[in-house]
Formats: sequence, structure tokens, C-alpha cells
Amino acid sequence: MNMQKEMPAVGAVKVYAAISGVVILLMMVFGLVMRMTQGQMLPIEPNVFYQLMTAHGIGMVAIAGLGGSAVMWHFLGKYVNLRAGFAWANLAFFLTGVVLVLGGIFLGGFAAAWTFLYPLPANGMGQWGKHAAAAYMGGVLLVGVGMLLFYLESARAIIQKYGSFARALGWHFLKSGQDAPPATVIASTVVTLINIIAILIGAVILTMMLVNLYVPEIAIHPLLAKNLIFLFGHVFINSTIYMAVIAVYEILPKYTGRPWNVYKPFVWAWSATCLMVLTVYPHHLLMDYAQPLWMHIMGQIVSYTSSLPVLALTLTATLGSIYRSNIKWDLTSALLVLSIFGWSAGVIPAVIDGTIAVNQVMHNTLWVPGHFHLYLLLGCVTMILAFTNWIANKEKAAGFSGLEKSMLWVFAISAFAYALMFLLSGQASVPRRWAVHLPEWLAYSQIASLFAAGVVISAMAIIVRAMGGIIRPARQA
Amino acid sequence: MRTAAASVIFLVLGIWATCAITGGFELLTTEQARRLDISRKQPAVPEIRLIDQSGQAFHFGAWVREENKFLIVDFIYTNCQSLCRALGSEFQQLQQRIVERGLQSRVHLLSVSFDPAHDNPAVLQQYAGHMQAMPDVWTFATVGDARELDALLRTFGVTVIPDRMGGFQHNAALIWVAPSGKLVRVTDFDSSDSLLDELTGSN
Amino acid sequence: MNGTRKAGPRAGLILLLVLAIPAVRSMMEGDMALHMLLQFPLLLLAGWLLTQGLTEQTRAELRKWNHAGIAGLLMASLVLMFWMIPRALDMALSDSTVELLKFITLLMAGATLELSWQSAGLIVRGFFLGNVLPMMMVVGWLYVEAPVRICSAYLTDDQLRAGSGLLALAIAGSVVWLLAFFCPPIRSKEIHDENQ
Repeated sequence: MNMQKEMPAVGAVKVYAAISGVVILLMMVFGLVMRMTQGQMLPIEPNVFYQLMTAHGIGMVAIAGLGGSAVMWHFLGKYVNLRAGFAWANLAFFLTGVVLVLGGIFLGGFAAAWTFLYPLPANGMGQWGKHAAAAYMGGVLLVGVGMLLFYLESARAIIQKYGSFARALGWHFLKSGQDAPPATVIASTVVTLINIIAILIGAVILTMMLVNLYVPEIAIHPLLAKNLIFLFGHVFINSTIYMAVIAVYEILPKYTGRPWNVYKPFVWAWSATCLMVLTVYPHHLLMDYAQPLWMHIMGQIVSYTSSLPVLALTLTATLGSIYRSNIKWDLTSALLVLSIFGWSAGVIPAVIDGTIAVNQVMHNTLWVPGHFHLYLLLGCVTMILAFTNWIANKEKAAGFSGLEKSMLWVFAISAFAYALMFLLSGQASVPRRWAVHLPEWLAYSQIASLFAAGVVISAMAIIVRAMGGIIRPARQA
Repeated sequence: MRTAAASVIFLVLGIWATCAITGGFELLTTEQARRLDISRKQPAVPEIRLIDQSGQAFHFGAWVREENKFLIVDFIYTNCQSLCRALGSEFQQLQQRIVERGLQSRVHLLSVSFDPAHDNPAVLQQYAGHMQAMPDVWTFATVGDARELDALLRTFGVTVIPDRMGGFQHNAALIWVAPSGKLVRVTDFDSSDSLLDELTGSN
Repeated sequence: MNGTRKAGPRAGLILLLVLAIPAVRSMMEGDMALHMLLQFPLLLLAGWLLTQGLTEQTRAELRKWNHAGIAGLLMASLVLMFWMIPRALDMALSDSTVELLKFITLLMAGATLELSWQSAGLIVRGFFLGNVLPMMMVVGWLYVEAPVRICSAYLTDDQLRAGSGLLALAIAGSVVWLLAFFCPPIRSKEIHDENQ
């Protein structure tokens, strides 16, 4: 038991990190292929494009979830007693689900985008049958079941150590100013709570749509279905970054020598996030005129405020801890700092898109992929890459070779430019989710493909190097 | 270990029972089960005595074979305010289409009332007039003997339950009877057009 | 202790006998909401109370087959899911064998709940609730949304009421469950026991 405390679930975390690295790379290649197809540089049929788009979407969401879980599991395990069996069980459900999802997409031809919006999955128009849609939705459901087990275990462990979620969130600290829980525990508790809710809601809508698939007489209220899907999907993807940011809280102090202190606004910010994450999703439905007006307004207001508290505090604390700290730079610390800037930058286009007037003209353009690629590629994925690199270096600061430096710069610049191309395309009203682009849009896609290639090459270098570090000691042991 | 064994047994039993009741995960409701059952077993129309709107009595099965037409049957009661109206307008449209395409010799419509106590031939006649039914396309009838109603409803897979306002609730389906006197298909009341093509085209 | 041991099963038996009276049965089953939201829970309760009469020996023997309540809660969730299938509900009304099976299985589900709930920790309970609550929401939503009658034996109004009831119950259940994380009724010692 004590052994486990010092090195929590090393095996599972390494396998999580290794799978995340490989899948992230594969999904990046899918992204490159899609942009090249839009730039008419690759002869990919539209039906295959939409399959790739579906796979890229669900693949990235799932792997951000798995990579984030690795970060959370690894560091939460230093404070509470997590049992490795649940990490493995989650992985087993995850892999089974992935097989079903991939089968549904590439064997069954399912291509209704990862958001499986009702009633599209039931209307394949010859592109896919109901069994393909069922495989996809069943697979997503299985991934959810695994994640539910994972979060139930973390809930149990947190309650065992801290007595209740209220204490783990630090509410007593707000009153007494004493005995603050570590930042990792606060973040993990928030993610555990919101993701259990998200998974339950996801289970409801997925089961409902599976029933509808086989019993079409039972129709679903489409607007309600869309609300539930986005409530589930948006909370889940948001929480990937709330899990991955734990890497910043835990690793950065090792480089700066300044501990990540928990103070009252930090506790407030995370608790407020619990509620805001659950109510922010309506900004995805601002174009649905049938949606009640108050939800539009709530969507706009919460969009403005939701990411801000945690982000602002994390950003200022990061800057504060780096400033005049003699921080030791290596690939890990550089990626961590980059990720905080990516996350911050990603919020700006989100706030713009969250404005009702803008949303109505922008939401179906490439502006939105621009926002979430900044946020996820430069934020979440970068945090996961930093974490992967950290455990590959046996959780110690390492040297910063010239190759690493240049790969980091290539990654940072091409990822930023890649997301910028989406934003520029969005500004030029290029629609999102179109396989074939008009001639006047080709230049955007072609330039973006160039940067996508830069992302793939640099990420490959970073990931392959980390893989070596993760796998080698295991072989020697 | 024993827990795992017990769990597996429960799981297998649960899946088996669910599979059994959903006909191999294909249906959730009794209505679906009935429809599937009818299209598989194709039961014959029972030899029950019906009375049409002109007061004429006839034996259902024998009449179908004699007419040698496709028969589309629905079940109604004339006091009905909701579902039967939808069925009625569906039949009106079907009647129009049959006439337009000259299918009178091949397809016939039959509305059977399951409320014989109220819907006597005179009431049916009035209802038929109200519906602008053409006698050579659309017949209204009810059972001659109320005791035979149950057998008729059972064969056609119709449940009728009294609601609390003196009316009835019943499933609104169109039942297709082949000229041989066998029930072949049950459809919803808004999907009959394509089936009309299919049945008359292939026969 | 001895008192509850006897009072429990006695109350359970009386409850079961009352529920089995044909008039009570047809009254409850005549209304879909009463059928699902009253008769089902009362049958579970009767099973739960009857089980309190079991001797410690029998319990110990059963516990070997029911580590951490896993098998028991799995069975209870399967039974509950099965009787939420509309066709199963219809058949319980039209076929007396099915109705007998409904009584027996729901009693057994109540019994396994009693036998398992204490020994199940946060995770097994969570997994059980994570299955049953969304399933109730799905079925409730189905009944509310369905443009046609799903159960042949019931009126559409009935269906609407039963559906809304199921939804309300499931949402209330979820809220209570999640609030329990903030003020856990489970003492940390019990959670700790589960670890071993």
C-alpha cells in the first residue's frame, strides 16, 4: 500500500500516456489529410472525408479524455489512495468502445460527425446502416461506462481522504482559512463531479437514440436531444483541460522552486466553474431559434465568464511563479508554459463566438474550429505532451537539446499558425464541415495544410522521443 | 469468484429474458410484436357475420375471397373525436387515389366499428355520407353478434379500451388483407401510399 | 434487534398479501402510473422487509456469492430494467404467468437490494445508480414523447403521467445521490473496509 502511495499506478499511467501519444499523432495525421483534401491536394472522396472528420472528432475528444485522466490519476494518486484496477478497467472499456466506434466509422461508413446529432445517425441515406450507427453510439456509451467507473473510484478515494466533496473543494478553507486541500485535489473533485453528471446525461441521450434507431416510431424531441448532446459533449471536452491543467499545478513548481499555493480566490474560481461548465453549452445552440430566449442569454453571459476564473488565476499564478524564478527550461517546462498561453489565446475567439450577434454568422464557419484548436491543440494536447515528456524523463528536469528546442518552436509556431488559418477562414466565411471547398477558399486550406504538416512532424518528434523514455525502463525492469 | 459466477448467471438470464420479450431486440412494444406476428403468420380473416351500412349481412372471410380484391381495413367508432378522424381522412385520400388510378376493381376499403351497440346500420350510413364514402370503394360495417367482436379484434390485433369519457382508445393501424383472405401487413396510417403502389404493382 | 428481525418480515408478508389481493392488484395495475410508481416500489419494499427475517447463517452463505453486493445489485438492476420494457408491462396484464413472474422477480430484487446495499460501497452503488437512473429517465422520456400508445393496455394520459413520474423520480434520485458526495452518509470507516 505504501509502495503504491509513492508510485501510484505507474504501469497504468504509462500505458495511458503511451496510447494517448500514438492516438494523438494518428488523429493529427487525419487532420492533415482533411485539410489537404479541402485544398484539393489529395484525391479523397467526400464520404471518406466525413468518416475521417467523425473519427478525428471523437478520437481527439476521447484521447484528450484518456490523456487528461492519466494526468489526474497520476497526481491525484499522490494524495489519495486510488486502486490501479479501476484504471485498467477504464482502459478495457475504452479500448472495446474504440474498436466499436472505429468499426462503425470505417467498416460501417458512419459519418455523422462526432456529435451524432439527432436525427442524423438514423438517416444514413445509404452511406451507413443502422448497425453502423449503433456500433458508433454503443462504443461511445462503453467509453462512458469505463470513465464512470474511473470517476466513481476517484470520488470514493477523495471522500475517504477528505470526508466529503465539500471539504475536498476547500469550502471549509473559505471560512476558516486553514487546511486548504491541494490544487490537484480541488481540480480532480470538480472534474469528478461534472463528468459523472455529463456521463449520466450522455448515457440517457445515447440510449434514447439507440432505441430510436431500432424503433423509429419513438421519435425524440430534436431540440431537447441537441441540448443533452451538447451538455454531455461540452462538459466532457471542457473537463479534459481541467484534468490536464493539473500537470501545470504539479510539475511547474518543480522547475520554479515555488510551491503552487491554494488561496481563497482559487477555491472560489474552481467551485464556480462547477456550475458554469454545466450551463455554458447553450452557446452551441445560439442559432436554434426554437431554443428559449433565456437560455441564449444565459449561454452568452456564461460564455463570457465561464473559462475566466480558473484560467485567469492559473495564468496569473503561472506568470507569477515564473517571474524572476530562475526557472529551469527544458521541453517539459516549455510545453507547460506554452499550454497556458494556448489556453488563454483560445478563450478569446470563444468569447467572440459566444456573442449572440456574432455567433449567428460565425458559428458554422471555420472560426469555431479555430477557437477549439487553439484551446485544445495548444492547450490540452500540449499539457498532455508535457506530462508524457515529464514521466519519460522519470519526473525530473532534463537537458534542453538543440533538436528539442527547434521542435518546440516548430510545434508552437505551426500550431498557432494552423489555428490562425482556421480563424482567418472563418472571418472569410468559409463554412465548417465541408469536404469540398470553393476555388477562392483553396489557398486557406493549402496554407493550413503546410502548418498542419509542421504540427505533425514536430509532434511526432516530441512523441517518439517520449515514447522511448516511457518504454525503455519498462523493458529493462 | 462465486460472485463473478452469480453475476454471469444473472447477466445471461437477464439478456435471455430481454431477448425473448423483445423478439431478439427488434421490438419494444406490444403493437410492434403484433404487427410482426401478423406479417409472419398471415392469419386468415375469420368467418364472422358482419352487417354493412345498408343493413346487408355477409360473412367476412367468404366476402373477401368472393370480391377478389385487396382489402384495407381500419377499426373505428363513429363517436370518435380523435384518432378515427385521422383514419377517416386517410381513407378519404386513399379513396380518391383509388378512383384516380382506376383501382376500384383491385382495392377496397373497409371500416369496421367496434361499437355495435351504438353504430347500427343507420348510424353507419349517416357516417359514410358524412365521410363522402363511395359505396363501391369504401364499405362500413360492424359485427352482427357483439360476442364475436373479441375474436375479430384479436385476429386483427386491435386493442380497444374504454377511456374515462365514454369513448374508446384503440390502436390506429391499417391492416392489409390479400384477396386470398389472409392478413398480410399492418402499417401506420400515414405510410399507406407507397404500399398501395407496391401491392397493386406487384400483383 | 430481535424485534425488528420479526417485525420486518411480518410487515413484509402483510404488505405482500395486500398487494396480491385481486381487487388491489387490478386497482393498481389499471393505472400505469400506480403500476410502475407504486406497485413496483411496494413489491421491492416487501422483498426487502421479508429478507430481514433471514438468519445470520444464511446471510453469511449468501455473502459468498455476493461480494461487495455486486451480484445482487446487478440482478436488481436487470429486473428493474426488464419490467420497464413496455411489452413486458403489457404482458404482465394479459398473461397471469408473466404477472406471477413479475411478483417473484420484483420481490427477489427487493431481497437482493437488502442483502447488497450495506456491503456495497460507493462504487458498486454508484454503478448501480448509474445504470438504473439513466434507464428510468430514458423510459420516462419515451413514455412522455411517444406519439402513439406504447403500452396497448393503457391510455395515453396514463402513459404521460407515468413517464413524467419516472422522470421526476430519476432526476430526484440523481440529485440526492450527488448531494451525498457533499455530506456522505457512508462513514469513512466503511469506505475503508471496502478497500480490504
